[in-house]
Formats: sequence, structure tokens, C-alpha cells
Amino acid sequence: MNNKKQKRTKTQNDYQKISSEETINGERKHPELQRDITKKEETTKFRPHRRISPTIVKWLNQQRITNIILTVAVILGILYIGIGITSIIGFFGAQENPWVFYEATSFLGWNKITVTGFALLIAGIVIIWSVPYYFFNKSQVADSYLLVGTTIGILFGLIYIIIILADILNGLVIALANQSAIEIVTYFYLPIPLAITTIPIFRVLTIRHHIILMDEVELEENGKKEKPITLKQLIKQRNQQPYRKRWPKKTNRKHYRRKMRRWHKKPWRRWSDEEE
Amino acid sequence: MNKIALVGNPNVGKSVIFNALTGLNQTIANFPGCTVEKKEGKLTYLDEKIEIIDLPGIYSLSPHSIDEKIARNYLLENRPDLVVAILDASNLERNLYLTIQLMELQIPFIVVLNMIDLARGKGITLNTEILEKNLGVPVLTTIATQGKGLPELRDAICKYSKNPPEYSPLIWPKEIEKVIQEISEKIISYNPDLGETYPLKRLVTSLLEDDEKAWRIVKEAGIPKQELEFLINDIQENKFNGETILTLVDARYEIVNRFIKNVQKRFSDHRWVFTDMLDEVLTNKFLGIPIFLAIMWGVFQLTFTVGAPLVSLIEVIFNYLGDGVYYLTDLLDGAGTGHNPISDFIVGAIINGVGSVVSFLPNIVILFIAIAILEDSGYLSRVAFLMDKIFSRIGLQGQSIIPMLIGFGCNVPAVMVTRSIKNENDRFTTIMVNGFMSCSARLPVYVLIAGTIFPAFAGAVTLGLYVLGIIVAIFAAFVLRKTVFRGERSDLIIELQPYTVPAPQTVFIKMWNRVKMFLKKASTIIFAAVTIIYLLNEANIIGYFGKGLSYLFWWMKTTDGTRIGWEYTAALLIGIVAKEVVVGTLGTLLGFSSATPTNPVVQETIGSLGPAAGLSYLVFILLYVPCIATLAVIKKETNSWKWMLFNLLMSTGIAYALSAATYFLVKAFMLIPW
Repeated sequence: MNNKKQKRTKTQNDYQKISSEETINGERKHPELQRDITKKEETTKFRPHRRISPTIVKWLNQQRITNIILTVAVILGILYIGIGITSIIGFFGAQENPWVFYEATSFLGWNKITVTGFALLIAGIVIIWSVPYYFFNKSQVADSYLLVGTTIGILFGLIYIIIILADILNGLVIALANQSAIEIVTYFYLPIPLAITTIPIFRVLTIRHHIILMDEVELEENGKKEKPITLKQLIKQRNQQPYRKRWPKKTNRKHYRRKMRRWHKKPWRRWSDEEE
Repeated sequence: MNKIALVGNPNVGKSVIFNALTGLNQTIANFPGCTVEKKEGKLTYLDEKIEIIDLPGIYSLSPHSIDEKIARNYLLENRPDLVVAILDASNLERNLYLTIQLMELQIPFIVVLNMIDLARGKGITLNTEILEKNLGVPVLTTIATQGKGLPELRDAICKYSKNPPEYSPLIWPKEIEKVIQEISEKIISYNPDLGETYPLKRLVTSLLEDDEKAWRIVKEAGIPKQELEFLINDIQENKFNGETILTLVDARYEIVNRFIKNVQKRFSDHRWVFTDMLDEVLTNKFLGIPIFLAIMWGVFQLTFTVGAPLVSLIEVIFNYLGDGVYYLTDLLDGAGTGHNPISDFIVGAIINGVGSVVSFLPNIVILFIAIAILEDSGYLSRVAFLMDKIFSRIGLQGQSIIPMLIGFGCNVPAVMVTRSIKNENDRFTTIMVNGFMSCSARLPVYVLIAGTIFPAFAGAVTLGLYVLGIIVAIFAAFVLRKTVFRGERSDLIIELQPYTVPAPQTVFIKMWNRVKMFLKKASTIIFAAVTIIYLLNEANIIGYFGKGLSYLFWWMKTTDGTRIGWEYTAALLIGIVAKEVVVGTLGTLLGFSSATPTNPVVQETIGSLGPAAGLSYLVFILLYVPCIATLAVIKKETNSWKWMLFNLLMSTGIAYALSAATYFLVKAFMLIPW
């Protein structure tokens, strides 16, 4: 099957409704917005995106993959909620210092694990929220929750990477102020490894929902009417370029640049450029 | 000099284009109602000078709020040489409605389809050539945030400001055309010259829409109102069945549909775009607010943790500066200690006072960057949508949320943004409670006190204060709407534009503008305030005020059971000038050069407050009157001294009551044997 020319046979009507307004003191607010606009969607051909092939998008939209995503969502959700709740329990006094409640990583050379319960719990809840939707075959909605949940997870992973950098900077500043040796106090922040585990699923979801635009769209956007360039044509075009435009071998490059600079500085050359 | 006005619906990118054309740095954001005043700038292009006017966003020429009136009145009274009608390419039909009204006004215009990338993201394609042909005016496409299409726009402005394009005639449906003709003839019979000064057709449609301004024009033209009113009423009842406004709206949309025939095509493969996916979750009635809180918590965590080493670095620099001053003095007078009145003044007032405020610059920069990212991504308008449900329950309009969110940055522009609120009672209520939203000026105080007393939970305490501010604002608004500002509430109309990745340049400009304001404040108001405080302290005058005021806080005790020092109450008094001055005053009076929580002097002085007094002091700082500038802008916007004084007394009273309540609650909490 030629993926570049998938066809849609179904015509879909999409209704965009703006909620009606109430009147205030008998005056109608923005009556121009109180209208239903019907937008007709048209059947069309699709073209592959520049980087993501529609085959991959289609493959990732299979039921089989949805089931795998569902499994991952359940595992991730439980993981995030579990760690979040444990941390919150720690926060309310189960441990002496709520921020340092788990010391499993101390053998790795890191100080201790530090987690942030609240944010992880929220991320976990959002991820778990997607699970029922998968069961009810509403994978678009389910993907939305999973995507946002993983985004929150990644965001907090990033925040804690920045915090580690800040810890290092703090050590440097303290050393500068006290004129002592650098001592960096940082922690094994759990959101970071958790974020790393969520990155693949986040990427899969983004590809699953990649919008594929059709040929016409891009051509009209660019204001051009010609057909899109094929790889064969591109190679041919490149081969047709004059030799001087190519970079010479690395050894001669410096000399070549100097030569070209001189050539460009010639007044008649510049004049002819402006003419063009 | 030719005058060019930028006109369009709210949040279509007028201010971005204005900034790009004029080189100015007007505030821009991805939420509607960002511009509430007209802004002027100059475009110099190909040796030509053109005046560019950025008008507040309007949906139609029938205004309902102050900002919409500003835009409409400018178009009517100033008649610009050319209007650049900026349209959201992804929502062409609704945006063209305003363009049709520009045609009614007979104002020359060109069309700019902005945000063409977002349209493409939604699977919409536009044929500008057909649109150009249908409208009869040039149609340009731009992606203003990326600077695409702007050189062509500059060319077009220069070209068409001298030779305005002639657009296609506006053909109304026959029935309406007949009515317009009938009323026009009546008007001409009374005043034949009116058509030369004002487009008659527009005047008639405005009269049919019962536009106040149109009736004023008729009155000024010497036309007997009663007769004309009788005719219009008769037409409204008999020909439009009392639904004149909607009939005209439908007619305009009919014209729009004629113009956009074959212009746009929409394609979809049944999958949601990212904006739809994000909106599904971020506006969820159960998860929306917890997600918002999590994001804000992340912001404060970043603000505190990442800011800490940079604050320490500034502390080191200021310490060296102080030492340098004493060293130089010692070199000059050779006394050995370096202490003399001048060096003590420089170190005590400037380095300790101003330095303690400036050292919070890293925290403020991080917070500003985070807020700018949230604004530009389009998330804040979703927060407004989320909060609307809560706000509607307390009787406040959802539109009030935008000024309140802007209040997180500064209360002064936030009070001004209330102009976009249509209902007067809603507007006044929003102005009154805006001060409870924690502005960035209060952040240094939070960093200092929360960071010293609650080092591990400084972020959580700060987030708690922000949330408390919102809760108090909601509660106060509820009470005000039930008592002082009674009346009906109106609904929230907000366009949720697609999410966008904030441009680093825009974020930087926003952050820089705010930082500049902060530094300007530090070098003027704060500098003057701490200098005066230092001198008053040297003369033992400030102590009297502080001690007098500290009797009011007799219940606020430190960890050793004594009443809090007069320095704290003196700082509250001076804090009315600007909230940052609280830190500067404490720095000067308590004698710490850098207000970082790690500073031993800070640990000794601020640390002695303890959790109860510390939290209670923070609650007072959060809720009492924001600053003199906010009071001045409240006076300006409400046009009344009464409301300004009311705000001053209300906020201070609530601050005092809640501060005491917090103190005793924390005390009671600490007594529980955990």
C-alpha cells in the first residue's frame, strides 16, 4: 500500500458550538458570538510527516500497542502513587526527617533518596485516571491523561536535575565564601529515575497522536504549486550544483575560504549580485 | 505622519505585531485581555515615519467593556489612515465578523492572517488568493511570534497607508438593505450632510442595535430623537420580530460566509491535536486544580532551591563590598577600624538595606521566567476557565480571574486589567480583592522568613501563602458581592487559544522588563526608603513608631516568650511604600547585609520569631494593603477616594484578624503531642 496516498472515504461534520450567553439587565453580551458554526471536514489524501512515517503512526495505533500502553500505565500509576503516598506518610511524621526516608541508594555513593510526595502523587493519579478509559475503548481520552501524567513526571524529573545542579553550585559558592574545599550536598532524587522510565511512553504517545497533514496543505502554505520533491530529484539536484559551491577537502578548506572571500569582495561581483 | 491602527479580536497577536513593527516591548501573553489601553509607537521604514496604534482586542464594534470602548471610540473619532485587521487564521469566520464592521465604517484596511501555523496544526488550509479577491483588499499571512511575514507586512503598511485599497462592496440581504435605505432617507431628510461625516449605513445598523454612541451622533446632528425612535421601534417589532440584533448578526455572518467561500478547507483524521489532549486533562473538574497546584509547587521549589546558591553568591559580593568600604575608609582616615559616619551610612543603609533586597533578584528572576512561560503557553487562560466554576458559585465573573492571576506578578497592572470586565459590580469587587493575590514584591519577605524558619518546607509554605491569598480573595469577594456590590453576575467568555511553546526571546523580554522595574524600584523607592529609615533609626525616631505599633501585636510572641521586636512592626509600616522595603528595613534595623536564610545574623534574629510568630507575620504581609502604587491605581480606576480608603481598611483589618488567627492556631497545633 502506498502510504503517501491513504484515502479517507468517510465525510465527517464537525460542529463547534459557542455556549450561549445570558442577558444582563436585558442587555445581550456579545451576540455575535452566539452562533453555531458548522465546519465541514473534507475527505483527503494524507502525506507522511517530515520525520515520522505514517506507517509508524499507524502501527502505534494498533489495539495490541494500546494494550501494552495500558499495562505500562497501570505499572507507572501504581509506582508514582505508591512512592507519593509513602513520601506523604513520611512527611507527616513516620520518619524523623520526612525528606530522607529511604536509604536504599546509600550504597551507590549517593546520600539518600529524597522524594517529593505531593507532585508524584498528582502525576500518579493522572496516569491511573487513564486506565478506565482504556477499558472503555476511549483511547484518545486515555492517551490524553497518560500523556499529561507522564509530562508532569518528566517535568518534575527536570526540576530535580536543575536542583542537583543548584546543589553543586551551592557547594561552589559556600567554598568560595568560606575559602574552604568544595563539599557538595545533594540527594538521589527519585523523580529523576521515574522520569527517565516515563520518557519512552511519552514519546510513543506523542507519535501516536501525530497529526499528518496532506500534500496540498503544505504546498498551499508555501504558496507553491509544484509537486513535492522526491529523494531521487534531490540527489539529482545536488549533483547538478556547480563544483565551486561544494566544500573542498578539509585540508584545503582554509585556503578555499580565503579565496572565496576575496572573490566576493570584488566590486563588480557585488554589483552583479545586487542586479540579480 | 500616517496613522495605522492594529485591530482584531482579543488574543490574535496584535501586540506581538505591534512590538515587531515598532521595536517596543509591550506586554504580550497567550490570554485575552492583555492589552486594555491603546498603545502608540512609531515605525520607521524606508525613510518613512508611520504612527502605529495597538488597540485592545474587540469582538465587534458594539462595545460592552471599557477596553472595548477605547478601541471603538478610537476608530470612530480618530479615523486612522489605514487599519491592519489582524485575524486568527484558525478561526477565520468569527474573526471576519469584525472586518465586516470595519467595512461598514468605511475605514480602509488590509487583512493579516496571523498564527497560520496554528491553523495548520488544526488541519486548516487557507487560500489567501481567493480571500483577497473576495474582500478586494490585500491579505497577508504571518506567524508573528516567529517573525515570519513581518517584512511583507511592513511593505504593505507603507504602500497602502498612502494608497488605501478599495474593498468589495458590502451587500446586505435584501430585507435589511431595504430597512437601512428607509432609515437613511429619514435621517437625510433631517440632516443631508450627516452622511459626509459619518457612514450612514453603519449609523443605521448601530441605531438598530441600540448603540448609545449612535444615538448621541443623531442627537448632535439635530435630528429629533422621538420620531426616529418611533420608526426604528416599529421596524424592530414588525420586521425583525424584536430580534434585530441577532438578525443583523446573522446577516453579517452570511456576508462572512460569502467572503470565505472556497477559502478554507479543514482536514482531520479523527485524532485529537495536542491542545485538545491537554485541555481534556488540564481543564478536568477534578484533576485541573490539583495539577495547577502541582505546577505552582514546582515553580516555588525551583524558585527557592535554584535561587539559593545565586542568592548566596550575591551575599558574598555584598559582604566583600561592605568590607571594601571599610577598607577604603581605613586607607583614607587611617583610624584602624574603617568606621566613621559616612562608611557606616554606606554600609548600613545602602549595602545592608538595598543589598538585602537586591540579593533576592535570582528568586525573582526565576519566578518571572516561570510566570512568563505559563502566560505564553496559554495555560493561564485554562486556569481562568477552571476557576470560573468556583468563582461563579461565589457570584463573581470568571473574567475576574485574569486580573487576579496577573496580580501574582504585580497588583498595579492587575487592577488596570479589570477594565475588560463588563459588569461594574464584578469589576469593583475584583479591584477590591486583587491585593490579596500575592505579588512578586512579597516574595523576598517569604524567602527570608519562610527560608529561615522553615528551611525544608520554604517552597510549601510559600505555596500555602499563595493559596491562602486566593482563598481569602474568594471569600472576601463572596462577602462583597452579597453586601456592598450586589447584583447579577455575568458569564465568562474566554477564547482558549491553542497551547504554544513559549518563544525564549519573548520570555526573556518579559523577564527583563520586570527585572528592570524591580531594579529601578530598588534604586529609587527602596533606596530612598532605606536611607530615610537608616537616618530615622540613627536619630532614634523610627523606634517610637515601631514600638507604638508593636503594642497592636501584643499577642505575637517570639520563641522566648517576648513580644516581637519593634523592628518588625516598623518594617510593616514602611512596607506600605513597597513590599520589598520590608526586607530592606529589617536588613537595616537588624543589621544583616544579606537577607539569606543561611546568614548567621538572620538565623539569630529572624529565626527567633519561631513558627507561630513567623507564619503569622507572613500572613499579615500577604494580606495587608499591597503598596502605595496599588492604592493610587485603585483611586484612578474607581475614580473615588472612598473605595481606596475602603480597600486600605478592609485589607488591613482582614490581615490583622487572620494573622492573629494563624498565630493562635499554630500555637495550638504545636501543643498537640505528636
